[in-house]
Amino acid sequence: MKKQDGQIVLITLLVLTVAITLVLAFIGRTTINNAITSQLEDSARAFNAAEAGIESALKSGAGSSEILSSGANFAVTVTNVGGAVGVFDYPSLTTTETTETLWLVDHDADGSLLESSSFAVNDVNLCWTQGSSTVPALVVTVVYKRSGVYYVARGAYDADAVNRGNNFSLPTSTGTGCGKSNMYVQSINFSTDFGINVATDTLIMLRIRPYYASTNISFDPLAGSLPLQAKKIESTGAVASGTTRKIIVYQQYKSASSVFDAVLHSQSALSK
Amino acid sequence: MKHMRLLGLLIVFFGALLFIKPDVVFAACSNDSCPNGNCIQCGFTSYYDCGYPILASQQCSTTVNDTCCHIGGSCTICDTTGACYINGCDPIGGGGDPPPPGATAVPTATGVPTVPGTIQARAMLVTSDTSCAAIAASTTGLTGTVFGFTPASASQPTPQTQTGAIPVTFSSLPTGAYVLDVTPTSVDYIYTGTCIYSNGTLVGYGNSDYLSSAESLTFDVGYTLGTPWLQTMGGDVYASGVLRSYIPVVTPRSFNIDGTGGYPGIVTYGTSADFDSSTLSTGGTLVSSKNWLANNTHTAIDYYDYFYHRFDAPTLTDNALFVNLAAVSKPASRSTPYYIDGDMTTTGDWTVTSGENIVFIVTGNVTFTGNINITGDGFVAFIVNGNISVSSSVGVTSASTASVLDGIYIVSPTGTFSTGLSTAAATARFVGKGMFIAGNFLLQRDLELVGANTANSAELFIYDPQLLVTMPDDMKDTSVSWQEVAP
Repeated sequence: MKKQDGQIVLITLLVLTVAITLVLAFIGRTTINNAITSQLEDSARAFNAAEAGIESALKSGAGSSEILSSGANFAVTVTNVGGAVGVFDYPSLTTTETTETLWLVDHDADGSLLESSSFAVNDVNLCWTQGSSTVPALVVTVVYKRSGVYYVARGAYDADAVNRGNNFSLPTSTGTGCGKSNMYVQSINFSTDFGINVATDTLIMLRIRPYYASTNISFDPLAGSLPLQAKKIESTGAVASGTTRKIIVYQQYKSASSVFDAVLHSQSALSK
Repeated sequence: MKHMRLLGLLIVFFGALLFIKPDVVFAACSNDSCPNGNCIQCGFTSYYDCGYPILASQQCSTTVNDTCCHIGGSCTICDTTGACYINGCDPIGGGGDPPPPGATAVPTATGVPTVPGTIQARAMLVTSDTSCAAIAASTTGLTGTVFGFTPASASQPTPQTQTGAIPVTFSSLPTGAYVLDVTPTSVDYIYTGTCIYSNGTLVGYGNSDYLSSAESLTFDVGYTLGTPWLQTMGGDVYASGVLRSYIPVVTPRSFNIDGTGGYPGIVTYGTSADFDSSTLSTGGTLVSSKNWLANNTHTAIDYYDYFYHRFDAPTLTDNALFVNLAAVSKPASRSTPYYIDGDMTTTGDWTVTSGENIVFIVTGNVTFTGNINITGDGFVAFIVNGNISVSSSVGVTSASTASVLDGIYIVSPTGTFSTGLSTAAATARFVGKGMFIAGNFLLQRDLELVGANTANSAELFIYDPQLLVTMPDDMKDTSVSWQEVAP
């Protein structure tokens, strides 16, 4: 009889142990899930706050900080890109559908060109990444002003020009350029290459377009200081729990679409 | 056909050999008695034969009775003038020497005498249709064109000069190969091709053929006053399909000539490019001063839609601002575009002056009946969902480079930019300055009516970099790149 009582107690204890373990596990999992959910929610709120900061800065053009009704807050700083000595890197890959504009004049507060303040350095380096399978070529159009009239000069550079038979020029060098390795480098002398007198002519912009493949483009003004190119907007969103998210946006000055590099653009044949 | 002609040649050759056999009996002839109507006096003796005329260029030595060979390969004799008779005379001392007066030539069973043929030729002016039918139907002959035959021909009769549309006629020509030598009166006439007819039936093309026995060949030579062509200046050119404009011999001989800054643009094509009318070349050296030519295609974009939305996709039309959309005068400058629902036609010349900004967004078609010009830093753009048509009355003289349409002209991918027909000398040429974007271009101008296709392009499009700067900000791209980084 005593033996049977002992067995019952033992079984009861085992059952209770298993039950308690299961309950504790369930409680723990729920707690973790709640914590993760809370973190995700905080992260999303922080991100939304950071985005709100970006929107605010894109609209106002200035940095600011604000506590939103949700309790989240953002802090935005706006800094200029360019306007200093050093290499300018375009922030993202430039596709063959895109013409990048490198401004050689400053802009005023409302975005108008200040042609009286022009880049006047004769020698610069233009660099672009070599790409993986397809060799990217680069076409550079220099827009400048002489005696009140706008002119263009143009250069076309392709390391694979011989195979492609496009009569582009080979880049000046391949290797290190603009502070990076594995680059195509085109050294440009505005005077000898394009007949532009940087002292008397007003350089307005370079319009740079990749052909055949996308590429990352950099510009080294060498001894010069580039005019302002873009605004860098850094927005950090945060919530009370301490979760933060950060977004960086580069906003370049407005410029004409790549299609306006063409005098004639036909989306079919062009035949006479 | 060629085999038949070769066979004919062999028959003529062997027939001629038999013809001069000593046992051939000759007799005096008359034109009535000769099958081909030719009765010639042969040699320095006074006997006659039915034969062929003298080949003036095939002079043999002046030694009487000397032999020479003509194109048929048979040996004949020479008379005292050194002229060589073909298939005509029996060698002196031969069996038929001298023929009895009144007798008739009787060829042997195998000696088939050939009959002389006739060649006619005329040069005719045609337009864009250069087919044989068009040449035959042409009523404009090139008076003064001189026709002859090269030394390689079987005979070189005296060259003849064409009058009106009537062909020149070379009669009584011996059989053989003939190469026509044509000299029009002006280098402005561009040769398009020659159609060859044998007894009225089209048998081939080109300036040479074989004249068979009793055949009548006609060379119908086609000329144009040059074909119309397209030229661009200073900016890039892109065609997603075939790019073709045959550049004549002009200076500079380029499809894309240097802009005012001294540089051409990049010419890009999707399918093929051809700038030379020669079938042997695609004109790779006629592209530009740099010959920048890229085979590359871009993503098709609906630029009407693109810029319509760039201007915040207007919905309220400005139709009511214009009394008559079929005759729209230049409106006032304003910062927002004019949004027209339907078709519109401009009237009068517009001059957009410094400080003025005019942008039209049109859901239908636009027709220009007057010039659109920019002075100073003015700006004008037409963004059109339908077609753009330029009236024939909008143009300049053939050598003028003064633009008639300035600004930016955008047509949807399904739309066409038509330059209009050339109907008057004063407005024959279209010159545009700016940027022209369309799904398709219908380049209709033709300077033939002023005889200037060999000197000037019928359409000239000039790039205007000023528009890159004067373009309103609403029309420009805002480049924004975005990335999240660790806080």
